[in-house]
Amino acid sequence: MSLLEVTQLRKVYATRFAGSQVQALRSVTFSVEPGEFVAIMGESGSGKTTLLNILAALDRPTGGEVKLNGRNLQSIGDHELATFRRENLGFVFQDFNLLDTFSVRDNILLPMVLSGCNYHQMEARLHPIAEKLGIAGLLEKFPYEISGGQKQRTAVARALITNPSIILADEPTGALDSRAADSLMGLFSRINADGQTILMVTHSTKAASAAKRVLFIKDGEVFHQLYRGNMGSDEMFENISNTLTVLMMGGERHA
Amino acid sequence: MPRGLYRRMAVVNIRGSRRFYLPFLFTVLMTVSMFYSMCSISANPAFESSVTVSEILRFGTGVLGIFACIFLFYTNSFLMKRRKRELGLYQVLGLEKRHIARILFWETALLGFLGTAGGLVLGLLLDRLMFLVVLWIFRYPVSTQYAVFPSAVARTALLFAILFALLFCSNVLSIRKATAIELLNSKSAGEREPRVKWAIAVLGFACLAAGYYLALSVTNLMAALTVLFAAVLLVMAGTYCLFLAGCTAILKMLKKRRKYYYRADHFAAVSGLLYRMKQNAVGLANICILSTGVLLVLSTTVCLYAGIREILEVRFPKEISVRYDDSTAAENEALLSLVQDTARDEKAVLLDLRGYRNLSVTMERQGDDFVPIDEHSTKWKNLAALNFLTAQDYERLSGNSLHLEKGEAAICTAKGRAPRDFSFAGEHFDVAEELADFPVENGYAYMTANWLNVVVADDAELERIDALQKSVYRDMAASVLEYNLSFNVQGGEEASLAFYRALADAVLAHADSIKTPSVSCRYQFREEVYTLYGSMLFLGIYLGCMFLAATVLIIYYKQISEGYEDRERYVIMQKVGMDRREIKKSIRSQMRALFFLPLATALVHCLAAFHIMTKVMEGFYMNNVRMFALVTLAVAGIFTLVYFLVFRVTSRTYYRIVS
Repeated sequence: MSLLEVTQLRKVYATRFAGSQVQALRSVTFSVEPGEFVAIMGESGSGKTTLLNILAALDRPTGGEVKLNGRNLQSIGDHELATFRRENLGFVFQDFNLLDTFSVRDNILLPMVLSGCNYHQMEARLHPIAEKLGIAGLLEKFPYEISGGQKQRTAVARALITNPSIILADEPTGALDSRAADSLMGLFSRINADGQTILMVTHSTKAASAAKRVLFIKDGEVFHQLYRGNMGSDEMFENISNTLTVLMMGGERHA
Repeated sequence: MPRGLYRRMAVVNIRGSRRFYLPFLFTVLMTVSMFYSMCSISANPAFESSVTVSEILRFGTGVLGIFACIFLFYTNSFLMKRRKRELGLYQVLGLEKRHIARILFWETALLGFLGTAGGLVLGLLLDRLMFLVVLWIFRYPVSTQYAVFPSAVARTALLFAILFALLFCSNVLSIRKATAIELLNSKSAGEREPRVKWAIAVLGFACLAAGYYLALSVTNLMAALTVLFAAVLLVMAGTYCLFLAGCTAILKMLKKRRKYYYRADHFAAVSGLLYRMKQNAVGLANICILSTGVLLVLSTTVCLYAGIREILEVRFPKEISVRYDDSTAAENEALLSLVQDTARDEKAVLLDLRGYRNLSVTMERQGDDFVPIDEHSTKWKNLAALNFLTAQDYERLSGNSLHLEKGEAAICTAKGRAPRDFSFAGEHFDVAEELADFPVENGYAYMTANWLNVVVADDAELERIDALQKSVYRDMAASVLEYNLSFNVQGGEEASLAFYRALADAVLAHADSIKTPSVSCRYQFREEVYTLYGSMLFLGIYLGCMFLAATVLIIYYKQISEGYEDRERYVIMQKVGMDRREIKKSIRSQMRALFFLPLATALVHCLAAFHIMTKVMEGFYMNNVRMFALVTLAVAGIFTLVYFLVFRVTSRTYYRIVS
């Protein structure tokens, strides 16, 4: 069974002046297997963020369904939703979304604190993760005292700490310089190699070339997909570039 | 550079960040109108007649001025924190610091002008409105008149002009110290812990202890009035320091307790509070001080008003009193028979009739010697009131027999230590007996630390003492040998008023044959007392409402301004997996602890102030401590209820903003 199943997902936004409607997602179908590292690519306005918001249960679809571990997201009630997201999903955002009021340590522990874990449990989980992400020395600092790359690694640590089924990353390299971006993608590959499933939305070819599979979205539909197989990063990069070129030229659908 | 550029930029800035400037302007408006109202009230001639009231008003204006200063700087600090990023951006875009200073100058000038002018208009309206409302509520002949006092307007304008100049200087200094990057990042940086935390804590504790000591150690009205201002200032300073150091210390301690800190409902609350600890501390201290003001002002004035009946009885133990100053024994006899003849003619029955000669003198006590007061060197704690009576009058009034020789005295001590033998203006007296009770009140007793009732052998002795005090004080002599005649009239209020009028007529008719006494009646005086104490109550309600409004506004302002700051944080927490219920819980936990802290502190302050307030109340002939305690309790109870409601409503607003 797939970890994540998305079937015929549709999302229509009504504009402020009712009457005209915008179709953000027409019909999106794909699935993610445990242990995969999937990148979703597309131009601005292609519906990437809408898709991620629905997967994150931050937004509800107009039609179709999303199943995580066989459970339909729409069937989860409002009061249970926060707990569900906390326990099953990990988030990495473009602008980090760290809290200024918390130290790095407390930012990472936040989801666990919200889940009501005891402090020893938290400490036991925190140290190996901080070690792995290279932020063990920064735990007592505050977000405004560390660099962008360090902030994003803190955010990744926060996403990892609950052992989520899947990590959803929204343009994680968007606010980083190229070196920090490369290092973050290396990190993603490493945690993926440890068995962590990752779904990442990006429009950076460089970032996407770290993934094992790349889905291309255009006009609210999955337009094409590319498997890495045993391609190297460079080869993958070129393949993605070519696909994007075809996409921009308005090529036919291949998926 | 085009002319007027900075001015225009200032206008655009203010308009652009309305969301932050409006609350600030609102605060300024409120502070200005409050200060103006206070100035206007203390300039009102209606309150000049009583020294105590005008003294308290004068010092209330001072306290409010200091408060305005702290409050303005406090709200300004909120504002500057938000503005720094923008100012940093100007610097990045190439403006020099002096250019930024010029923009700041125009902004401050504009805000200062708008705030002060608007506040004065608001103050005038508010003043008028309050007068109308209070007059309408009481329907009493309150002796206060509404008027606009140019001196009050001028004082308010001057104070706020100076305050805004200071604000401008402090803002320019804070910009000057920082680099562009520091400015850009300052919005997200947490407040640093006050550096000398322990020094602040110790200072706060010392101030508070000193203030409490002053308030608790006063023994009389004069001392109370002299130390009141100092005590209030010390307690205010102590409150600010302790809140600053105390809040930080408590929060840090809570954060260290892992089991407490790492729990869903405390986690966000504690770190959020610690993030803004100084801001929180000042805000809470402000709330605490204003609450204390509301409680004290309302409890004292309500008590005075409620106690009018008793106050009348203290001032007029009997319904009618007739008094002669410096009269001879023969004149006293004539007066007594005039009263009795009038009673016979009017068919009035006089009850509890008593007449006695009495001399009250205020001296300075030096051990067991009583010497004349020297205006320059006498300390209040050495003041002594001596109240003389003859043995004959004492026997008649108390029913106890007492035999004294010339040069002997019997003593009843009401306040201070009893002397063994004593000298009065150089004349020696032996204390033959100590009395448990004394039948006559002492007119000056409430003002002094020592209060002795003295019985001497006979009229000759009493006249000797009178001559003695007149010779030492000469033209400064304030005391006279009085003959007091007082009685009730059977038939209550009407009969007593009727007899009072008849007696007054009789006194007029005999003006050529006997010396004219002063005649007064409790009920006739009552109107006057109602007017005076009605004005006091007016003052109390007026100031109480003003302080209460300010308290509510500060709480509201705090909730709103912090709500906007916290909003982003709660959005992030929701994304990470916090649901609405948990947010509510976290907010409640954050509020509960810190909102009830100021209330509790205010109540403790009131408890400490209770003693000094009873002394001040003695200046208004209010001696019923039990009643004052009850009124204070009731006022505190109602205030707590109001406070709680305000807290509930504003918490809801805060919640609406963040979610």
